[in-house]
Amino acid sequence: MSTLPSASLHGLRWQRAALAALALFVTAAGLAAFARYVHDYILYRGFGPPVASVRPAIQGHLETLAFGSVALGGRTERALVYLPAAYRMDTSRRFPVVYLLHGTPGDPRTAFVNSLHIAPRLDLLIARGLVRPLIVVMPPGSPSTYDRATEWADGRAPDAHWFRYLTHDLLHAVDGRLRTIRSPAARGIGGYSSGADAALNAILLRPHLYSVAEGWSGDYRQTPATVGRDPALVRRFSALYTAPRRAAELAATGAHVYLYSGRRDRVLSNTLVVAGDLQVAQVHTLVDVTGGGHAWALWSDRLDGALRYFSDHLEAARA
Amino acid sequence: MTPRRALAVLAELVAIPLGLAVSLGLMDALRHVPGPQLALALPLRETGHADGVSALVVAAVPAAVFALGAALAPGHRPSPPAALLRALGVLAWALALQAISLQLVRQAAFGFAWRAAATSAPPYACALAALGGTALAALAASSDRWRRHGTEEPPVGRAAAPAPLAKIGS
Repeated sequence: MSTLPSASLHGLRWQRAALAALALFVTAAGLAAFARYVHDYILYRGFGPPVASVRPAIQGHLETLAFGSVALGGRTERALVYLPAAYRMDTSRRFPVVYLLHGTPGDPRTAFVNSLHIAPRLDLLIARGLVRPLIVVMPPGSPSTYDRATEWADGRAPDAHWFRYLTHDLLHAVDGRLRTIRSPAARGIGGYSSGADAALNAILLRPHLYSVAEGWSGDYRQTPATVGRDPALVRRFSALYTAPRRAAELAATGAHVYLYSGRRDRVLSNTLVVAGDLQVAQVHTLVDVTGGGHAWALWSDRLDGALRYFSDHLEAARA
Repeated sequence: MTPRRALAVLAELVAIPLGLAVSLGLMDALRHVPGPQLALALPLRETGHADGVSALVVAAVPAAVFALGAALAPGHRPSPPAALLRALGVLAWALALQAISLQLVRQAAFGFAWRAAATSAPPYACALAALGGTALAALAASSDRWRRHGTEEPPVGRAAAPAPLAKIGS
């Protein structure tokens, strides 16, 4: 058997060491880049970080509103709030409020700030005069991002009354601490997926509090497991069940409802059923069936239109 | 199966997804390289309409990563069936990764995500590039061996003539 000369063997060892070092470097760099790719999705859902759309002087800003919620056992919750530039420019004005609710799993920052870029998009819409200045409140609907909680419904546990937290505790905190117009005519509520379910529940069960509701890809059926499989709670927080029973009362308030769903979304039929129930009762209802599925691309594409719908049907800011 | 063989199979099973993750990461880092784009190469960026990557990058990156892996593997000269098997492994992992990513992004039914993954080009491009890279590494190893041993020395593996134990006569 032949053997390599020692100089050749030495060279071979060096070559392999250099290859190993290169492989180590490539692996480390590749894995770091892969982690960043996944992290970007987790943080921005593929949209990338938000970028300012207007000059700083007319940019709105985001604040955190901390408040105690009796409905959640006295826990402190933190809602994100978008305040338009006009809010700080004219301190005597009061503004309409829109509540935006995230889906499950989710949290307000990931959903509306990082993914849907609510602040720069509203800044631009307001600057172009397409949307009138309004406050947007984005509360959390679960204890943490991946915690299902009760999908904004009141659960059986005494500290899990998420619907009361949304329609009572949050509303009082916002009206008490921000310059809002304290009238249902200037209060809207909307959301995507389970946030859409909650928005419809809010306007159907509390028609005297809101005048505009939007449902983006909701299924309008409460997931039984989220409310301890209690049939009464499932019915109470399912617009599929409550819409035909409460739509007449809603119609009497003159409320406006905007529902949309992707054509490929399996919840499309539920959207059409709820919209049909509302229209039969003469509620002002706009239904939009569009391309896409139950997905971020759709919610992002429709966001400007959804914000304009709120702006067009809510009372404008006033001194 | 001998423990050595089992270890080799285990290493292969780990190396394929690792190589794919490294390739995907590098493709993401190089996503701004200009040139004709291959759509859905980065499915997690689909919502931001930034999922396309230069076809050159999609071909070169997995090829380089898997060539490097093949060059470093012990006994680094994979046979054609082994290289093909590795490429099939890459394809399976790439399809799975694509389907999971599309399901996350589009929130669609799992069957839909699998169909969308199976009809998208990047998993196949990655597998082909991995095959090309492995073949390239094998070729390089082979020519390197001939070059190192020269024409007078037979390559390792070929039976050399036994040295005489003792000279008789003369």
